[in-house]
Amino acid sequence: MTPGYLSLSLGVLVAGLMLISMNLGASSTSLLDLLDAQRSDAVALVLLEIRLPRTLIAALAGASFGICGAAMQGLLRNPLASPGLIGSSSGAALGAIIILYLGFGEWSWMLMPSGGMLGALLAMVLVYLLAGRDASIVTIVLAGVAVNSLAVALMSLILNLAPSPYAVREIVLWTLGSVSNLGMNDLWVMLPATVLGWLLFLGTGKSLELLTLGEDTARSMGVNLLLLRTRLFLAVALSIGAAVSVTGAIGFIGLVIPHLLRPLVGYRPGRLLGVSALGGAAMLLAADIVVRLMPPGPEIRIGVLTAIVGAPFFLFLILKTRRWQLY
Amino acid sequence: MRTRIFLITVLLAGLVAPVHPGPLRVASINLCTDQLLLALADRAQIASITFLAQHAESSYMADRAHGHHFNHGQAEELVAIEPDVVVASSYLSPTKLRFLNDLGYRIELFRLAASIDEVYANIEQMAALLGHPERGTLLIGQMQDHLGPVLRNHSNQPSPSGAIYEPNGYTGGLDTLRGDILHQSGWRNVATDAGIRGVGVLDLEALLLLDPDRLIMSPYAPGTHSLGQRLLQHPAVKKITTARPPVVIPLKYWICGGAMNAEAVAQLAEARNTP
Repeated sequence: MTPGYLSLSLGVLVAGLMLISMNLGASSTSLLDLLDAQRSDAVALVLLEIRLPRTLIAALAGASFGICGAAMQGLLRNPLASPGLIGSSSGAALGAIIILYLGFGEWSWMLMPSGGMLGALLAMVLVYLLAGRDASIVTIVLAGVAVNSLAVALMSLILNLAPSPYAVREIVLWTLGSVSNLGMNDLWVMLPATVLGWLLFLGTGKSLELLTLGEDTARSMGVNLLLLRTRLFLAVALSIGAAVSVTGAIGFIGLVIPHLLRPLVGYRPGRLLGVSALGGAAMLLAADIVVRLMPPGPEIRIGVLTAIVGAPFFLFLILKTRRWQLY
Repeated sequence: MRTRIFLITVLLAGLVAPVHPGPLRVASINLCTDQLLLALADRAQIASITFLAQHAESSYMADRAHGHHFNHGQAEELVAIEPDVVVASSYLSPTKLRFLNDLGYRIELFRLAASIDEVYANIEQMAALLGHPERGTLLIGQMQDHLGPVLRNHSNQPSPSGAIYEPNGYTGGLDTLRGDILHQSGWRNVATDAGIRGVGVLDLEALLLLDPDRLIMSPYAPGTHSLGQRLLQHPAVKKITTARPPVVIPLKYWICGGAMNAEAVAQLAEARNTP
């Protein structure tokens, strides 16, 4: 499949899923109702203030998880370096939690995503320092496990100590993620940093491809590794921080999607970035659609679904790696 | 011989059962039983109440709670006090119930009142337990006197629609105390229309389409922050509340069953006439 054709079909898939997402919800309201002249204001509110932000945020966040997974796997040349596993997701959630529950979020709407970005960046740098360059899978996973556990422990500690009586039970929202009950204001909060993060990815594809030849070769061919690393870390911190501070840490998209699409782009990390963004958006939209198709009752968190797809895939990945000793 | 045995028996019985029994000492480990206890018991009958009883936000009896022994609902805390009876909600966890049983306490459970009639039943149960049934009758009479004019007043007016709406979208439908209070004060509860029984979640989309005239809120822990509380700031909710400001009923008037429920009914009945 040529890259253009792949991007086109993924784009059509994302558009189709967005359309389904707009027409699906607790009530039977659909986009067609907007054309009805006799419609009540409530119908427009449901579509524009509830479903539209939900759909757009799922697409944006999914794309961020996908592209960041592809970028980190390329940069660290390690198939397990997804945002969830190297701690940037839980770091971001921790940062956002500190801002929201301790009441700093009142000062400025920018503070929550900023907290998320800082948390993501700190977690990534910590894992990177712990594991070092060219780390083996084992080292990365161990460092990731340590940083993740620390972040999750601090998250529950802060939620336990938070003054709000509602805080403790919200750990589920942060560790499994949710895109329900979001509004357009949440979209505006995450949009600037997300776009900025994506822009930073532009033009890094070539360097990532050269990096597959090894750091020394890449350097000899003019890749400034320090610059590339800083830039990608910043890009991931910006987009993951913004996404997670709105949706919570949704796992496995950044791991599964790049692996699924890598063979389709001829194993080229540069081409993988864009298609992973589309694939991630499609996966999160699809998961959110399934959440809404479930029978009514306590809502199933979106991270539950991505993990149900992701965990078996993870196992498959381990088996495959063991068999071929590729990495 | 027979008289002697009889006399000895009487003497022994006198040793076992004190001639002048002290007051029955009751410990409560639930905010709602705390308030019934504070309303109906002699001071000496109250062995312990929960620390929640002194929080003016959720406890109507907060000003009368001072000076008592406070517990945090832990069975261990009661050991030192040695109460005669422990009163609790019927939602007490089975582990705690078993533990209290093992300690040998008499346990009286009170139903979570789902209507004002059940509140009356709980008041009677507590008053009987404390040996003051007349106080229960008096309190119920006062509530009915308070409710009477309110109920007569609205019976022939159209009912506005309302939705109890709390952080995380929680609401009370059919068979809840708040639902009954809302109904008694002449409102139509849209949560009941939506088929919600007991405490349930009113989905944001459902709320918009049900389009209640007013939202009824009981802010709890103002000045604190969580995702659940942020839901109340959602633009869709704001669209309802800016046009028609929410009716605010302080939580202490209806989180538990008791005399204060009559005040909640009166406030809600009053709110029907104010824009």
